[in-house]
Amino acid sequence: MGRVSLVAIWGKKNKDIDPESREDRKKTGLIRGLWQKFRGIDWKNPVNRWKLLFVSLVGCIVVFGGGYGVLTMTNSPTFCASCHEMAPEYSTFTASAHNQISCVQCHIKPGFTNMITHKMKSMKEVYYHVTGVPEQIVQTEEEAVSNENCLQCHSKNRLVTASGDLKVNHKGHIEEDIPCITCHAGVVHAKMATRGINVEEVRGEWTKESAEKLMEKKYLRPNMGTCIDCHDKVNNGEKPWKDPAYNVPVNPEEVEKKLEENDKDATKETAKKETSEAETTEAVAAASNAKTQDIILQAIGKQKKDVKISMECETCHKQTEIPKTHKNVDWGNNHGGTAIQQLDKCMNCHQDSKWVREIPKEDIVSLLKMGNQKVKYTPNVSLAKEQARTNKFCSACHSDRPESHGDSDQWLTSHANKAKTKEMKAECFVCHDREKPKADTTNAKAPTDVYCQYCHRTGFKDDKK
Amino acid sequence: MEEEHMNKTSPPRTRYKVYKYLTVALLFIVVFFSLGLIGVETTSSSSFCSSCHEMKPEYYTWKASTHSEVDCVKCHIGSGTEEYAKAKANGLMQVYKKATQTYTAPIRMPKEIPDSACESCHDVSKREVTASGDIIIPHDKHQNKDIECIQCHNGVAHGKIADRKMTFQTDYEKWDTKTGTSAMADLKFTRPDMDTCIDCHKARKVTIECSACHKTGMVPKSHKAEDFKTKTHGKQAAENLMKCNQCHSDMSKEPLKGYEDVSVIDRFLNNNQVKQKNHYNYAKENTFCKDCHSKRPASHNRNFFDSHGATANKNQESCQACHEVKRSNETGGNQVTCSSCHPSKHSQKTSWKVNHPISLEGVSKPSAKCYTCHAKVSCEKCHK
Repeated sequence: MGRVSLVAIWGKKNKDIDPESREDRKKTGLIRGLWQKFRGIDWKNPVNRWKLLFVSLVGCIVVFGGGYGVLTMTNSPTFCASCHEMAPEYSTFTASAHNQISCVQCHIKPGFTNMITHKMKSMKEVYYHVTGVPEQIVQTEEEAVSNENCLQCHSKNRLVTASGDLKVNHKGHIEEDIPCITCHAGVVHAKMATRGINVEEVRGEWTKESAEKLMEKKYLRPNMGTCIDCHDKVNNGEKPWKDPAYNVPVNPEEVEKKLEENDKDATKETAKKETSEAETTEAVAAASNAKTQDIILQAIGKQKKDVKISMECETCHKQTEIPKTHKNVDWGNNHGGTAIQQLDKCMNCHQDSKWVREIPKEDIVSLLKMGNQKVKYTPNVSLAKEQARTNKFCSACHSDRPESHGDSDQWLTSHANKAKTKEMKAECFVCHDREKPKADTTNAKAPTDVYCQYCHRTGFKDDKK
Repeated sequence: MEEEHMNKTSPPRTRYKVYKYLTVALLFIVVFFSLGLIGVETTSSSSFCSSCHEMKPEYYTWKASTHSEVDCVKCHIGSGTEEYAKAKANGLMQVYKKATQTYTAPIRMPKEIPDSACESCHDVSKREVTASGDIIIPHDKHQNKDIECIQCHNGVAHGKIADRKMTFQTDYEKWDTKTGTSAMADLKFTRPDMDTCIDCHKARKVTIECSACHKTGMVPKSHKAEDFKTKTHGKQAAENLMKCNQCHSDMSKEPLKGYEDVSVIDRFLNNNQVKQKNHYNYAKENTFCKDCHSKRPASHNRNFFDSHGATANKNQESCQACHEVKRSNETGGNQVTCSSCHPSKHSQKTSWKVNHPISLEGVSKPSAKCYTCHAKVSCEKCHK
């Protein structure tokens, strides 16, 4: 043993050793043998000392160089893209305006320690990659892109010029510590998690081309619903952005967890819960409807409230030119014809999605098939009628009893004259159904439960012609 | 065994040396490279650039600019090792020049920032540029014509301080954060300026219509009045020609001179008596005005030749919007001047021949040549 060590730490020594001793060593095991060899080294020999120094130097170079190499590699977007579950994220990123920077510049907080911590945490991602990829990958609260990340490039010196006719007081928002992502959440990935288009079964649909189709401007830009929602909450004395959950998409796994917990509780008193749950969901929907309508009314200035941030259009828009037609005195009672003719134009401003923060789930396959093409609107009474009933803006008034109807005892006997011709009846049908609505109908629900056949059981006089 | 052992230990003398030198050499390599790396890193930092006081104006303007988070070298050194090495060598030259006091201040950029530097962050193909105000600016069209970013956006990081003569040696010590901020405060130095647009559009024969770049079309209210074209625009021009010139100077096909504010120096040199050109000159010089003014007005009907005296007597000046009193070198296209028919006194006694714009040597009688400018009818009233 000693002889071997004296010859060299490594080198030709094996040639000198007879096959027997070689076998011996093999039996002792590789690591053990090496360790024994190491212990046997004569450290008083300066050659061995120099060797040790040399080896440790080379070791250092390998460790540091290799470490640097590994860090650089794992920091590059192509490394992120090497897992198929990142395909939606990666392809949107390449199609975005931020495609010249790397994933980690936003998704890891600046600083070396943060980077190393993130690498360690990401080990579990590797584990998931092997054992089973999550159904949908969603930014979590602690991984939310922080202002620090944005400010690495975006200088506060820049005077922001919002596009179009918008006025956005960025300074005011920054002073309130509103995180950038509260508004600019869609800037790179076009809110695909909220739209539900990055789930497992459609990951294969994501390519460079499809990403360009799916990066719609309305998702890249801050959505007006968020402005509305946040301004309203501020008016009610809340600061929603303080809650990190407000700034990131809803995490489906956490929702599931909560549901499971609820289920456990529910098993104890199932029967009671089921009915009440259905009721609560309905009540919640009704409440949110009422809230949206309230906000819309504030915006068009019909309900003046003493508030911190006015909800009027002019607060944020330089030119909210209210169309000339709207200024006619009787516009409130006489807009139906225009609505049928140019419903698409109405919807430019009056669509619900502008006023609601939530983004509906989308189907990627149909999105890709349809593309961004616009369907030309052809005047359609039933579409207009549906809007009058379902659209929150329209139904804000349409659900009220019209002034013309007066007291019901009077109106009941005198409405015949107002419903003589077909055209006149069409006006009634905007709010009233003719027949009793069927329980399983897909038609929009009428704002009133009064329908014609409730009294006119045998139909109208002019029916039989 | 012992002998063998001794025999074996003898070679290590050479091996000893080999390992010693190898190790030392490797150590040196490591030290050399790490020092080199540290050196390159430090000399590439923006704080290193600002450590020379020559760089103070550039540093403080950059700090106050929108690009304050982007290091100097990211824009000023091109990509690639070669560019990098060149830049470093260039830096060494500057240090030498500085030490020997042979550097000629003020500092100028040796070459312009290439598009690749901008594009390392800004992907114009993916971002729809939203110009401020009512400006329409199709970036892709400009890019397709190989117009470089820097041709318009040259003030973005330093506010054109070199052009503004703010980088002289004597002023280096005056620079600090406050100076930097105020130097960058005026948007007219950091934003692209319209003169650049117009010059380039003219040179490339692209439209210079207001509505091509301005959404609002820029037509003032006054211009929309019905009688603006036929009656009032002259009077308004008389009141504030400078304002007309603001927009209409760009619409002239020929360059206009002498309508700007008179410089302080000119005013001083001329004892405060600089003769400013007026709106009549303007109407004759600006091709935009001339296009209409050169057409015969409706009032100049068949009888006008006989009756124009009365009109002219009311306001002789108004004739000058189109006509000159006397032919001169500056006269534009209109051949009809007052002096075509109303010559100044030209008896033999006065030396009018000397001042006549065209040499009259040997001419004693009106000839066909005279009638290129003068009206034969009125001359023949005397010269029969």
